[in-house]
Amino acid sequence: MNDRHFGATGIVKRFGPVVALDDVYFSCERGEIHALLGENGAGKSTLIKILAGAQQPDAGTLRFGDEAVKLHNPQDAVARSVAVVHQDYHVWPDLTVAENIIGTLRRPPQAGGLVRGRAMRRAAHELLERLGIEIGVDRYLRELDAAEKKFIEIARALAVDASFLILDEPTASLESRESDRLLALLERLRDADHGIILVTHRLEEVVRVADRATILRDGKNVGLLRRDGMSGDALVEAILGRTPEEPVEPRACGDVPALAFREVRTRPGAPAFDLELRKGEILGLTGVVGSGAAHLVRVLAGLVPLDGRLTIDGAPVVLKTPADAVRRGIGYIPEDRKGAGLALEQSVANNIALASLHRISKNGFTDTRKRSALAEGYRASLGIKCASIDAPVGSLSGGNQQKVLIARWLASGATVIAIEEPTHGVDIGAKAEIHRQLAAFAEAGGSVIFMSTELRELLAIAHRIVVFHAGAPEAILPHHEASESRITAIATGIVKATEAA
Amino acid sequence: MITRARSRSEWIDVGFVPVILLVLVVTLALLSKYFFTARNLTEVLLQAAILGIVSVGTTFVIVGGDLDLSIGANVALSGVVCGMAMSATNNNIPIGILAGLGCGVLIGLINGLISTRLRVPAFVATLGMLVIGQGVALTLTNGASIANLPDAFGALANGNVLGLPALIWWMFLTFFAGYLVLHRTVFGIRTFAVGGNREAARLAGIRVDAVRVANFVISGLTGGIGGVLLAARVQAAQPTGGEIFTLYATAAVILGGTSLYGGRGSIFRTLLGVALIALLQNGLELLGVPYSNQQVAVGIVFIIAASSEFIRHR
Repeated sequence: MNDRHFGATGIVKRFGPVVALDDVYFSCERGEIHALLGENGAGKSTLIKILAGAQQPDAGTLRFGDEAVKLHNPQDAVARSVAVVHQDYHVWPDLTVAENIIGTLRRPPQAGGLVRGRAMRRAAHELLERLGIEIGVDRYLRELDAAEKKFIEIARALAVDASFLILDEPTASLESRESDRLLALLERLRDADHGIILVTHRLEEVVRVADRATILRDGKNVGLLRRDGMSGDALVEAILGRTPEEPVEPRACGDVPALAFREVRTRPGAPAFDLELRKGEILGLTGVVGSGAAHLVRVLAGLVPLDGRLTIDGAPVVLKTPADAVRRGIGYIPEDRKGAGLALEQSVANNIALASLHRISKNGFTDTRKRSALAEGYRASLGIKCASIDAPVGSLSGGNQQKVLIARWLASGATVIAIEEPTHGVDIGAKAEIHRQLAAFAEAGGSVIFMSTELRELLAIAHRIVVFHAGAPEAILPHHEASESRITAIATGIVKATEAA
Repeated sequence: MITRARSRSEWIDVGFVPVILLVLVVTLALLSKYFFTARNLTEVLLQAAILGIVSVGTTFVIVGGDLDLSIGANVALSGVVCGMAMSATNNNIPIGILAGLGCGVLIGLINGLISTRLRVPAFVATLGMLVIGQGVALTLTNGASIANLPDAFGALANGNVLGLPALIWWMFLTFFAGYLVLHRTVFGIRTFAVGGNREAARLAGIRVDAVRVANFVISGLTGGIGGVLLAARVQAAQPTGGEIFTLYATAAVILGGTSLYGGRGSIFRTLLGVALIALLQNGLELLGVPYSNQQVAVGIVFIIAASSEFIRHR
């Protein structure tokens, strides 16, 4: 059987009206590291799920060599010696290394119904040794660091003799030294004739280890680069694939700080840094997954503790809970607005009034007329499209839901709005309206700090763009110095900020 | 091989229950000179026996990330079915036992299928089954107990084996079997995997639903064993009185330090949890606290135990 190649041709996948993959081809050979690249939403995840048997394509064929196959579920893929290492950790903290690697396999060594503990531990030990991983097989996974857990996952995938290994953002949550160890392991696996499919946002890793790179954009193949033609610039250009739009200069803001971070670390071991958010400023934070870009927004939301100091209007502040944050005038809008932001069954009016109930209540009773007036006001000023302010907020479109959340914090008198991915899942019209509202809020003296992975959005509204890499800001770009290619190059580690200047 | 010093939280995790047990034993020994007599300690074991047996099954379900609140009704109904089958077959003891165990297994199987196929949370499915089981037990018996079960059947629980009532040996046997299955078999590892991270287990090719159903069946089986032995102990099958096992069994498991969220725990911990409840009850009895107040005490300890999980895993 010719099993040197594993790939797909003519893959089409639709989700409702959205075409996630449109006639996509992909092929990985044994003995190569093949990178799969693209922006968020380009279709990488969908393609991986199809290759791993977790989703079925609407059209197209998966092939092993010349043989067309169907993978109905992940087990089929495993039977075909395709293994997946997922981005989030799929290991068991309360099982030992040996149990994680060997014990959870389909057929671990056993005798008379009992696991042969020694054989299991020996098998795990031999496998780890073969991979050059030095981790004791009796340790519990909860004792291991992030890279070691990743190694265990890879070992686990290889315990079933996988010829092809798909890794989804394996270095996303690793420090650079840990990443180095992981990449070295991948190179050893390639040399041992495994086919490695590597999905990553860190292009410097691609340049370092990949033999070929398939690039997707908007669900289509837009490039296949080989080792000899692979450079950071070529990758960035292929991924973005468009001439960057000329950004519009946002209204200037002063330099009075609204809040200031001092000696902050986004995680232990990352470099400490200072950062100010000015009055009237829209500050954009960006970076690839695991870069630490989202951290400060979550700190301001009172969700995660701050390693460092924070002052608001010059006074030191500790935000222990979301309630603390609200009291300090910080309104937080999560990326998962449905799960964490809105009470979906509740009315538009109630959702808007949620953070300002004390203003429209007397003796614990809400004045419904005041609440309606408040809601109607914002409905008009923000252009919230809804049947009525008594309609459940779940019945609104994504963009209008986002406006409801913005209205909530405007109503509460917040001076700072902290947002994650302000326009994820929002259509283009609502996107512009949300951007306009944030700009208006800033022009009125408020401050906005937002995390976004959408370059066009950053360039459209941010006064300054903070590009995170490996846990700390790599560059703070004033609006006029920022461009899509520059941000991408810095965020993916292709260039250091100093070189880019 | 690296041996790591245990962190403080790990010491609390490992040492919490043993220390409380020790304190309890010393306190009781000081307060009552009757406590450390062979007769009283045998009594403690007898009181703990049925609870211990059903707690083993409950441990499987909880480690697998589910709950089984039906266990109390299971004990009652299995006992009743056992007693009725025996009466109907002119005191055929094997048939009675098989009917009782079969009843327990069936309840577990239904719990498992409802939880996995209908995707009803185990909490709801088994709570419903608790009420249903109680109702069926009352209906079958018209509310009266089935008395005068044969002496030979009674010997199953009360017969003397190596100086101890057989019931106590059944408990230890169940704990040992539970230990083997949960900690020494592939199925046991899979149970931990499913309870610890269901999605990861699914993607690892583990048949998650099959594992969950099997755990409900194991729990059902221990309920059946408990029901049969309870009937044997008093040579009568009572349609009521099993309810208390629902709370106590889950309490014993959590008290022992098995995580209510699944994926972490052990049979040995459950043994400690059962010991704690049994000693607590015994102590309160020795001190002359009325039964109703004992319940209050156990309820309080249960809640403290559940909250201590947060202390331990901080």
